[in-house]
Amino acid sequence: MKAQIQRVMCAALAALALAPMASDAAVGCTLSNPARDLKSLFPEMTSYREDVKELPKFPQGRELYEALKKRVGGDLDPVYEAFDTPYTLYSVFKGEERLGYVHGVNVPGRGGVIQVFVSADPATAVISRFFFQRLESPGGTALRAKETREQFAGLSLADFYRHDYYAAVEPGSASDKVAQLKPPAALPEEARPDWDATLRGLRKNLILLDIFAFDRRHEPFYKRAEEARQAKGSKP
Amino acid sequence: MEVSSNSVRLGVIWFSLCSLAAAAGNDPFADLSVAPSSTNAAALAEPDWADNLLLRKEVYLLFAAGRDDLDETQGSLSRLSAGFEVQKRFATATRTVASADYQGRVVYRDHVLDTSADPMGHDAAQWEYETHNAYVDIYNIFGEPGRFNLRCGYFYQPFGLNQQTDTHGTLLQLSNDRVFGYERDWQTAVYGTLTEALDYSVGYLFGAGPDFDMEGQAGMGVARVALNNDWLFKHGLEGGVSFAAGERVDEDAVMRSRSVERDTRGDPVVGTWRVGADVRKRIDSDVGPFTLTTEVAAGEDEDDAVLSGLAQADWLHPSRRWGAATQYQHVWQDVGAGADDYTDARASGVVTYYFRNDVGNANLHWIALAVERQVRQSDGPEDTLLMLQYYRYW
Repeated sequence: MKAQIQRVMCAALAALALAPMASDAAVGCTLSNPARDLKSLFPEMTSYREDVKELPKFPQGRELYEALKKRVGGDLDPVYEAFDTPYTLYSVFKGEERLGYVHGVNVPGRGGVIQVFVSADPATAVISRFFFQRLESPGGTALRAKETREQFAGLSLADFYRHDYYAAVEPGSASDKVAQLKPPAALPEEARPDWDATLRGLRKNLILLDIFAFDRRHEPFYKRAEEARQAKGSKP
Repeated sequence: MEVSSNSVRLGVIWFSLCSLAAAAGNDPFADLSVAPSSTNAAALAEPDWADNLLLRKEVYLLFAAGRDDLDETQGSLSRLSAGFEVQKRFATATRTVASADYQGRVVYRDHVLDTSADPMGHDAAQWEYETHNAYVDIYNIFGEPGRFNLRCGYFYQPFGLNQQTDTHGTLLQLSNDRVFGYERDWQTAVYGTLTEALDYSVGYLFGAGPDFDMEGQAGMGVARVALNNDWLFKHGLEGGVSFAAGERVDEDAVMRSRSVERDTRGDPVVGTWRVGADVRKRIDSDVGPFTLTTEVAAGEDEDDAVLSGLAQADWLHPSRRWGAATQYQHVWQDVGAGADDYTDARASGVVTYYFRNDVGNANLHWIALAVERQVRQSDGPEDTLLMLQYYRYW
């Protein structure tokens, strides 16, 4: 028995010895068949590149995670959206020209995982295509419908930050593009939370894309909207 | 009335915003723009060697006791391991060209029990170093992107659902260990898109098993055609047909059948063919996804007919904190030579609580409680096992 205990202790020590190794994670929300999926998004594609992005590897990763939390507008789910969750950024090329970025995130829906992907213009950061990969929802068919997904084309993160302003200061403004997004008519009532999760996922996706690909170019929009909201809050 | 400086500041901001809004036709963001960036790849540096390099650690503890075995031996199974995985992607400025993966474990076992939760246990020494993955992928070697990819090394056989299922840490395993005697092999496989709806995988397996036993076997050819992931994501459906034929090294296959032993003259090289079909269907609900899985395979070891079947049902809570699964697997072999047919039938159930359960399996941490009932065992006593597992992968 003593020998057995010694061996168990050895195994435990081996585990501890491995524990201090650099703690990186494998890839989280990825396209299952990137070559085919990216080709369908960009028929003129000649090559693509995958880059793993992890907030812990950024110089101020923890601050970025806190910034993400604030900009998403609420707590991040500890299972779906942890600090060490890795992301994959796809860059699509035609020869030497970058045609677009593709990026996906996981968000919790009422029935499970919702994987929200967008392709974005590399110059303007505007969404060119929106699509779901994994969608564990009783309203999956309605959410996947072309007319549902096409609403999101042409939006950018700036529109979400504008929405924050209009929602606080000028509800119902015709300039508020995000407020005009409508859930599909055929969406079952019990799947309504999955529409809300989709919007939240899209917003999170664009915020991360702003960090990973666009050097946080949309920050002035966030700050302007925040200032407006604070000012509104201070009014008697 | 005293006015704080903060209020004054906010008032100024508010006034400025209103002024801006008025000046810009009620668009307070009109003076902001998203500056365009270069889209030229020349501005994109090639990745450093440390980019896209992923290191992960693993701890796996399993304790199990058989009701009858405990009465007889007063012993229980301990299976303790510590491991790691390294993944690296290789890219130019505009193209991901290849990736490599290595995963290994140091394993300590005591009082090994016959359980499908530890398929590598029955032949293992008390201390083992086990390689679980060691392969290189080369992407888009020619033709349309996604059409031809190459994978070389040690990995799951492209037969059944195993290659599209991460069973690395799970107590419930799929069929290949029962179908071939091991679920991974040294091999080379070409894989990619076959049609709009189907993917393919064609490979050559050494038939050498985890210890890379080369006994003069010819190896095996294997082919699989499967529904592509459009089916999974749009309809929650996976499925395929697989075929394998050739020779493999499998000493257990020789030991359990007199006719195979006679045909091979005791040599561990076994003439093999298998054909298999599999389906997995996910059913979404507002209490979480349910998944139903079945795999069937038929074929021969030398002249022995072999049949294998597996049915499994899984449930995962939408929070991904709780999961439950049940499985039934059945293997039958006509061993000939006047002996009774070989049968191995087991039913299992497992309940899991997840501390971490990343969607992409990047970070896993759970504790699981399982029961395995050995319904029919031709080559040993039938027992009921109670198992407790701790698993962490990060």
